[in-house]
Amino acid sequence: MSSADEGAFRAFAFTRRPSLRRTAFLLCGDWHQADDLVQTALVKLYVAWPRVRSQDQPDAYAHRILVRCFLDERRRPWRRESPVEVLDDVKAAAHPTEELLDLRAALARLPRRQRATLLMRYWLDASVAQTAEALGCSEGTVKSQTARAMSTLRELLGDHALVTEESS
Amino acid sequence: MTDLKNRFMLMLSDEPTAPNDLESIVSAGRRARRRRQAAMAAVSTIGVAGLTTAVAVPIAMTGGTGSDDKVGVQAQQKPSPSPSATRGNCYLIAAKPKAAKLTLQRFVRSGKVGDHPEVTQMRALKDGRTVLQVCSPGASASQPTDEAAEPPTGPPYHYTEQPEDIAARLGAHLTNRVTNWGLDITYTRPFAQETSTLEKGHPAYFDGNVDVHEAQGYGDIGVQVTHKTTEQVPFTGDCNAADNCEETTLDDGSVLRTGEVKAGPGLTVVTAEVHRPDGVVVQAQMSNYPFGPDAGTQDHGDQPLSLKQLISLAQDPDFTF
Repeated sequence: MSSADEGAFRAFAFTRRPSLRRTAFLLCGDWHQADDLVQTALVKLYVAWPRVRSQDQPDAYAHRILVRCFLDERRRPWRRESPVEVLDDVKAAAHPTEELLDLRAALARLPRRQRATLLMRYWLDASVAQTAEALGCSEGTVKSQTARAMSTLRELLGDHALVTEESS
Repeated sequence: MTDLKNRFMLMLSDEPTAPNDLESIVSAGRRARRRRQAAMAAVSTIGVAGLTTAVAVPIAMTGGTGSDDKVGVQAQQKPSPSPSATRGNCYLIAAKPKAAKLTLQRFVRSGKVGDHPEVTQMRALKDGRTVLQVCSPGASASQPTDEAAEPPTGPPYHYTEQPEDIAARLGAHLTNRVTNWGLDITYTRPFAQETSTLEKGHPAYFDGNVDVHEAQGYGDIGVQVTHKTTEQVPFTGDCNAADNCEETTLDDGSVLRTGEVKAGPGLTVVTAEVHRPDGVVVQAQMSNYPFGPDAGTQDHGDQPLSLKQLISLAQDPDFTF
């Protein structure tokens, strides 16, 4: 990579890292894991940087890599999440359906792909088409995953608790 | 903004300080690039025998000829094209005939090469597998490799200096030029070249840079010298690759290009590159922000040099090897 490319990468990573880190945290719910995710994504971005740099939206590309890194994490046995019947913090609540759960816990209950879809749509403001392209699935899948995710969140957080531009 | 987005933002209220690990990211990225390029070279010419069945290796952005590790010298007819000039990917797949169709179907489903890729049979391996090149539509597929293909023409290039001597000489010269302009150097990245671009142990290009402190803050000045025998280092290519790009033919036949690239909010890289008649290309760059390990904590300055000074760096005949 030329020094110009590397300089541009450093500038990009320096300025956009906070945004990537917040997205990573929303995806995984843990700041340490978020830092690992961002680091992995930025290394991948570095490899592709000469090509990415010439694109109009390197930021969107970087976020796409980040989301894919998050989804790929499940393929690593040592990072694989163990499904449990009820989350610890949900157990702590006497009546989880009656009490308003923390959004973080509710997000954690979503399957990874639904979580990624939800964040792409409502955190990164990606369109259905952009989300489908980023996640490598059809637009119909994005819509159904979004609907399921929103349904689960409403169930956990209360019907009135969530308002999106589409639902309002 | 949606209610959901507001609540996402509230979740971020306990954000801890981010680690300062940009250097390790860049180092890891360099290693990853080297591994990738080494894999590309190994697949394209040494053979695919070491690859397991159905492993697909991205061989290049379009235009990849799969000849990265061929030894020899070819005169460069024109500057290397920008990697953005073409689109699409090509991959090599090694699979046994019975598995090839299924492998291809899986690969197409992965979305890496689109729904209707162009598939070219490259060659058969001794273990019965066939090497296929799969390119996304529009990507320029390379021609099937012929074992007896002619190597690059031209005599081998013999460097008259050891690589470390070249690096030291170029570094000292850049330091001398910059300090003569009255700038304080706060960080020096010694001239070096990526090992993956060695041609039979010889460096194809050298680059190095220095961070400098000027009145308003920190900036950076770098020089990259590329020998005529390589086409591996992309330059700006067409002038429209940069903003405000201007191309001028100088009296000695050299072509001077100047332009700037926005690297981020308020961050600009200005480039002056000279394509000399003997094939050497010198690219001088400056930025209004530093590159060194303390870059994250240093104030950004103005561009450390005038455009005239930057051009004089690119035209400096001592930047050669």
